[in-house]
Amino acid sequence: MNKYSKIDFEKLYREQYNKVLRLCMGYVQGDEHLAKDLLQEVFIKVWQHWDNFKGGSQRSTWLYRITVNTCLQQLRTDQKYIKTSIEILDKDTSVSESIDKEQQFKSLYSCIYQLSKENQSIILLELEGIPQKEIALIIGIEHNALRTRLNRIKSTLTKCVNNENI
Amino acid sequence: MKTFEEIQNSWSQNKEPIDEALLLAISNRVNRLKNKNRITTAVLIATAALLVTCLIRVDYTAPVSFYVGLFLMIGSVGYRVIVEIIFTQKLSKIALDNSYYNYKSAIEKYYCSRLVLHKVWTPIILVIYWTGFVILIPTFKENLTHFWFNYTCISSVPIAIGMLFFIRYHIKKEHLILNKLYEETSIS
Repeated sequence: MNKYSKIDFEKLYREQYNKVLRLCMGYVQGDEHLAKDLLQEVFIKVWQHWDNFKGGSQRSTWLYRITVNTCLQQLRTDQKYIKTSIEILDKDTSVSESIDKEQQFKSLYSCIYQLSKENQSIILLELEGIPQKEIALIIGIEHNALRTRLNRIKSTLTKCVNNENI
Repeated sequence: MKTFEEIQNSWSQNKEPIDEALLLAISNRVNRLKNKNRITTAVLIATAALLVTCLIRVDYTAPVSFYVGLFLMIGSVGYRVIVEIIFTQKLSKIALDNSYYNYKSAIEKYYCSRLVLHKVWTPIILVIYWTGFVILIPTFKENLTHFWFNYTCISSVPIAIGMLFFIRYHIKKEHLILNKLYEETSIS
């Protein structure tokens, strides 16, 4: 990576920091410490693959693809994410009644966790306000298929957050 | 948070100050990873050079069975190390900027081939390794003292058991990863 690429990398890091961190938090049920570990892994991969970006899409779309793939791969292979996920789920399923903002977020993370990893990725990208065409490209499915699926996930998630069965 | 729009609103308001220290940590870790790769390559080259030197300088007066046994032991371990390096490179070559589905499919194929390696090729390599060891036993008996000969023979048992547990651990670990991959799309 040359000097100019490094400047671009740092710019991308600062611009996308919060979005990537929120995506990572969504995968680890809001555990900030683990989310930062994931974020670090993501940006290491971004650095290592910086020159592979071919420019066929936006740099941010490229970054989100790396984020989704890196986070999921870490969750598959690293025991620390596996154990914590289960522990947090056990703790969080009973707190959805609270109206406190922090508790609402815990409840939201818990509801996201109950979705499949694929659906988690879709809804996390949607929550970030990423255009649906871009989400379809990141996931690798048709735009129409994504739209239908997204409606179902949104409804499931909303029901769960409002304490209904999914 | 009653509607999805409300959830989305709250979600995007969840902001944190940018962690500048992490940026430095990323840069340091990338450099450490580069150094680690350089060290690994240097160690592998040095080991290969040492083995080649030994093969050239060795006094070829021992019985043929000694060389056969030695070749089987070193060859099987060397082959396994090379295969492992190839697999590591194969994994790093899977494009991370692929779509989720393409990446997942490539990762699935990778772990399936790892399981074939663990379940088929590694046992074959192990049999070759231990055949080499058994062939070398008469040479050990001839050239080692009674104590060291007994020590070599007895210590081979826990080594063999350790190897089996090591393989079992990796098979279990990679089975778990594959199951996770299959489960990712099966729960709605």
